[in-house]
Amino acid sequence: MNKYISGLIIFSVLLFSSCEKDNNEPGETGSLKLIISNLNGGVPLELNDKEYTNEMGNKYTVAEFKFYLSNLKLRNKSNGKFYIEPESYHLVRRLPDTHLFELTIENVDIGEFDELEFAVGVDNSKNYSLDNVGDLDPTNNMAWDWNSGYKFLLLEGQFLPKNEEQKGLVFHIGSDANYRKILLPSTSENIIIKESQATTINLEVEVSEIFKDPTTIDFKENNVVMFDAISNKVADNYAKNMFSLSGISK
Amino acid sequence: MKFLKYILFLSFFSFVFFSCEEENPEVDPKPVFYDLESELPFYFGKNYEIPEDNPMTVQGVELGRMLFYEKKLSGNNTQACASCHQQKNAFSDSNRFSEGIDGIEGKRNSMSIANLLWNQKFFWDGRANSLEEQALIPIQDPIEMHQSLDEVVAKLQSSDIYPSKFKAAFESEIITAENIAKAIAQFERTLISSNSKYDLYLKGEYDLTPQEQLGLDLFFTHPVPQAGLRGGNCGDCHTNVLTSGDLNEFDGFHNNGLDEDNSMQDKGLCNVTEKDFDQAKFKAPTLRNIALTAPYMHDGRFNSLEEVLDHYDLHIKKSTTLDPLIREASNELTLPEDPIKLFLTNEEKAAIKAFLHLLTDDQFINDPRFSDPFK
Repeated sequence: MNKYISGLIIFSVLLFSSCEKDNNEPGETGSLKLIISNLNGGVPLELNDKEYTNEMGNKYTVAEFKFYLSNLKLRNKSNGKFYIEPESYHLVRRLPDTHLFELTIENVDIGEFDELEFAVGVDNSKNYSLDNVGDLDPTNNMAWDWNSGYKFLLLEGQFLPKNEEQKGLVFHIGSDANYRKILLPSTSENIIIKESQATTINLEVEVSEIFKDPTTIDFKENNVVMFDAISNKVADNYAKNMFSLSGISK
Repeated sequence: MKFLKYILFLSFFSFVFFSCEEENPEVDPKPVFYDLESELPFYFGKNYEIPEDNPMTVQGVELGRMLFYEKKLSGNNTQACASCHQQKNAFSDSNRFSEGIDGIEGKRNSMSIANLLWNQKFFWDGRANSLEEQALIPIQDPIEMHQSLDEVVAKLQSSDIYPSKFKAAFESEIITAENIAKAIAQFERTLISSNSKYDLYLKGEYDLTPQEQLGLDLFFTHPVPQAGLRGGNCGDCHTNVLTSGDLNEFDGFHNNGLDEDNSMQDKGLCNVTEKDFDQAKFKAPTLRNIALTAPYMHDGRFNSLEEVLDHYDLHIKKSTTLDPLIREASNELTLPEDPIKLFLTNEEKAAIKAFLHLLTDDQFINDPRFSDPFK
């Protein structure tokens, strides 16, 4: 009888708990919140209205700016510990109302890390596939088509040349050769992920760096960059200095 | 004793089991979930949202279909939504401008209603933020159906059929404008066009002819003459397999070079955002069933696909807000002050047209689930 009752209790407990939502065991994970600031010249990137000037003195406006931030990793170089986000494909964009774009990654292994790694683009394994993983969805308007993969970084606007009629400014950077890894060591403070807590990383994206260092882009020659050879140099530009960590907080 | 234990066990089990369900004994049947998702092809992606406060139900869709074809929605009971959105034209009509109940013509061409699930902004100028919001606007527009919402509600409330239909769909016989909009929106969300030859091709069930293949390639390619890449430049705005506009905010709205700055009749998106840089921008509609929806453009100025292709190929007008991807598109190297031309060959234009015809979905325009329920 006792056995019977205890069986009943266990059974009913099982049934009861099945009524509840799946309990996500907190376990040994926390979350990581990336607050991404889209900037131009150190101040918030504005869409359409504001005139910018590049290194060559070319005046331009930006109507749209977005890129894929993918394959995010946290690494501790001193002890070799690392965290890899699974199915890590995030489309970051300059939203109409704010230059800030927030990205929260849940279930990050706890620990102390001293380097943030991610890529700009979509790796070869997913670039031509139909898997809608993460933000890889053809309706995001970043896919060229299924043969050509995704645009990794897109900037569109107007080029306003002196004494000439305005032209379009179109930078669509993609294709496997332009996939770039970004390594950002934490400087003053390490990235510490604590159990059930959110750690915030402020990441700055300086759009003007797309057009300079090491290769200065002259819009008079290159106001449209798609499949040209120069796209490789543009990818080198933004891989070098466009991203920086500006703060870590808990 | 053993029997008792068995009963005890069973009753306990059933108690536990039923406690999972919501308590709602002996009321009218609840609306039944309408499984739209299972009808959608995977390659359309998951970038859509069904509003939480308007879940799809079988009864809601059924009611929405009736309302879509219901002439009582207009002031003099002569027009329904379906008057200007006819199934045989992929839910547009063949007029340049449609006449409202008072015989007054509108200023814009009736838009096709297909695959609107993947849209966030509605009307040519994007002035509605949801299908629910959209549905009530033409009813009240004085040059369209010209009737106040109070009048519509009163008419439907006093009819023999509608109170019970609203009760079945929304659990209340009291008809509201909000529920009218919700039902119509639910029906419109079911208008999925995914059985064209292009869809068969995407599913691997149809082989493109060489001409259709060329048309598809040109459609989705932005020309890069220095790289020897020829393109028709269509897919820059009519994006991905849906061939519809970018669904992020107003990114799917473009000035496509119809007019110069000083000859623009219709400000388009600028009327909504009041931003100069949105002057003469209009929604890039889906090109699904485009062969059935002539005339073309927001003002229906072109009668045929040939005229449309000639426009993009040869007659783009320069203006301040002209889309950069149209301005910077040519299959030949050009100089800064040159007119904007794609330089497509006649063969290439015929190929793009052949591809556009692949987007016709006969099943969609004949689907009995979408037809007039009063016939």
